[in-house]
Amino acid sequence: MSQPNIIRARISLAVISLLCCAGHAFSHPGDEHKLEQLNAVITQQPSLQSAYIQRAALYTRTGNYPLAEKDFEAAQTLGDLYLVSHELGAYYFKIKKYVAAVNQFTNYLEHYPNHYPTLEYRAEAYREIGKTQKSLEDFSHFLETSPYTNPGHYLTVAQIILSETDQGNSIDDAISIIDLGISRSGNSPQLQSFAVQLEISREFFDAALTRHESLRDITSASPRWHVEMAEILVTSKQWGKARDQLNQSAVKLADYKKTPAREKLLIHIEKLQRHISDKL
Amino acid sequence: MLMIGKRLIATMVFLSIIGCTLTAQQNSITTFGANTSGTTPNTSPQKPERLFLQQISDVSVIIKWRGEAMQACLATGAGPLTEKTTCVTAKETTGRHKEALFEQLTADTAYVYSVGEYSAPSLRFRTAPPTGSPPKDGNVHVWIIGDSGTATEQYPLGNYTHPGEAKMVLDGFLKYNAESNPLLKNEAVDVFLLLGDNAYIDGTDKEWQGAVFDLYTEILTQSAVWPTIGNHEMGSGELNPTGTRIVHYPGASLTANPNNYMSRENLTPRRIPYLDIFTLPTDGNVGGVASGTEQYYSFDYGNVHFVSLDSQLSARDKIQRDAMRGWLIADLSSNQLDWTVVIFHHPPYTKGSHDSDEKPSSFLGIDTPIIDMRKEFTPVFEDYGVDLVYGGHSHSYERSYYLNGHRGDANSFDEKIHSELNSDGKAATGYGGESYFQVSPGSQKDDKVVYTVAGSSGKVSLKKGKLDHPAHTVQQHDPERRRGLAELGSVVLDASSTELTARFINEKGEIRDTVVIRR
Repeated sequence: MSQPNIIRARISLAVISLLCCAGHAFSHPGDEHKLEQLNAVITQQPSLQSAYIQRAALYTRTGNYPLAEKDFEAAQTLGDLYLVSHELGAYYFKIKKYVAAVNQFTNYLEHYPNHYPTLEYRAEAYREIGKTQKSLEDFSHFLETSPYTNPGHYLTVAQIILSETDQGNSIDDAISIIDLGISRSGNSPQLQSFAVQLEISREFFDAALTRHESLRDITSASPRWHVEMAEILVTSKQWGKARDQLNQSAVKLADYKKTPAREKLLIHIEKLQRHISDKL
Repeated sequence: MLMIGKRLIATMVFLSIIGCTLTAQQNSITTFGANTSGTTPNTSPQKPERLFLQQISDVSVIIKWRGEAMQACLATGAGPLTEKTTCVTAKETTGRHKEALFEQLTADTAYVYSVGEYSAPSLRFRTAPPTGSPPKDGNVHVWIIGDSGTATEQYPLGNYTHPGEAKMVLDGFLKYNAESNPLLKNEAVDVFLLLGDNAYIDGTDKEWQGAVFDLYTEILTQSAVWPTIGNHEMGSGELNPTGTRIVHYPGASLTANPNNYMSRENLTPRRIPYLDIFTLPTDGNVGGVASGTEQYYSFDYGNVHFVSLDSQLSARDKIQRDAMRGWLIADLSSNQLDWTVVIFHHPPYTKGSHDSDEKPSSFLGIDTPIIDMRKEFTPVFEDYGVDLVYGGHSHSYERSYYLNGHRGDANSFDEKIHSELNSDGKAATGYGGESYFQVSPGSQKDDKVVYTVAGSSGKVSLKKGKLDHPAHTVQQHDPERRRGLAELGSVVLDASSTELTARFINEKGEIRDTVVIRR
């Protein structure tokens, strides 16, 4: 950028800062307020690319797509195209034009390869168009560079894997991801219960029981935990053991504070007990 | 076959890439360079830049600070520290913090401590009572502040928009606690809850210092602080680089990712400072069920179970939200304590500076976490025995009736369907002769919840809000008899084994609203 352009850009941004902040005691600037600010900026600086990008992003967020598109087009004529790419990709993502979104995100990542929002967006966009491996690569890059992950990240990746057509191997891979999450963030119901369902779906009942058993102490062996254990045992036709779990749950429930959920659980226990009686 | 092969290769690459970073990313605080010798060390005469307590349980505490000192020491009683004091060498953690974990403490017992050579009469705390029991004084005393972070709020830079207002709320609480607390004068705070937006405007480390550590200094050295993530903990809304700098929109981040934090000081996406500052339980070691993340967690204090949810990040992504909800159900299913209190930033019902209706009040701007939390989480609260829910976000005080089943906009609220009724068939107010019972006399179930917005601990603003949500009680102290108070203040919660009382205390130390639940 030439020296006069740098000075002009700095003056423009100073104007934005003043218009954004001067005299306002707001803490949560609402979208409407932001729109007013951006309109004022664009009136004063009609060739300021960043203002058009911001307004287009705001229109995208609020579903005003024709106006968003118009601003993106204007922004692309006012400066480097890649500066528009992230927000334009987000726009295409929102209107479900995923291939176009991927192209824009890729353009942006060439300049900002570790920009987390873009990586996450592109991973999702790849997922939407069925490019699972590409999606996984982006998620892996995201998790590799991320200083902090939580159980939801691993569930997201596991679900991407499961969306593949070959269910048998997908389950292996998805469970590997869940176990990786457990190794990194510790055992938790979110991850382990998901893995239990996967084990049941491929009829690995012993594995499902072992996994659910690992939640015993974490959940203080709650009445709900016993019922979930009983459900696995019923599915694997271990009727006697299932009945024992249900009995333990019912005994504990009698001591617990009564809530609607626990009342429903008791009804469910009775239903399962009847089912088991029919089988025995 | 080719596809399967490619997929497996991709997965293996994925696993190997992540696996190599595994060790570096673990953040355990359970192991320390063990120095439990019987002598008091002399390491540094300096007062720590910040000093606060984390995760006080019936058997343990984490003393956390930033400064030169390398160890902390602890002794029972009122002090001073003696030669029999136990000392622990600190572990250095993220954000230039140091942590000393003390274990095998005695429940409901007074302790004094020092950090390096720094000691002061204010460095004392009491361990929690045994899980399930109220403290020896019969009461868990909780102080709750929301949207309090205005001590660092500047628009434009250098122009403090709400100078001294957070301090006024603190002084009001201290005055109430010293003079008017009906239970015990100057009762120590057992649990200190932050409802989010506690360090304006970006939640930078520097702002946390100015808005929290420099303001609530004494309380933080004596009580464990338990936060939740607000929208102003996430820096600025995500904007494109312009080639020169990012224009800053604070509090407007829409990301679900805690690593996407950006502020005026540093435009590189990075981890939210909140997560570097606080050490929160992920493994259920302070009670509750392991969550595997510091973004949402639970803990027990005596006879009260507390849950902190994440309505700012996790709520914005369906898979993350479902995971948090699944964890919440597991957690509440295991809970047997007398009372359950839930906190998160975005209130399910509000007509203050934010609006909880799904139909936006203007052509722009609905607050999706508010809607999602109401539709997907309030059924869990009601079904699983939650008593009180606290949020902030709106900068006023609003407190609901005893609610069940209201998921829609304000105009769909019907007091006869959605609230506990008094003998006249009107919504019971929750105080005086109309206090609530945990097991509702109407439904014979523990199926109702009081929802409170307490976001005026640093400033008051209504914008277009009229404080007229019909699910909220009419406030007797409001001059216009609205369903809320446009006053600075905070909430004091007291939990005995039979009664849960919440009071809104204004900046003058006056009680402005009371709600009571009995069991």
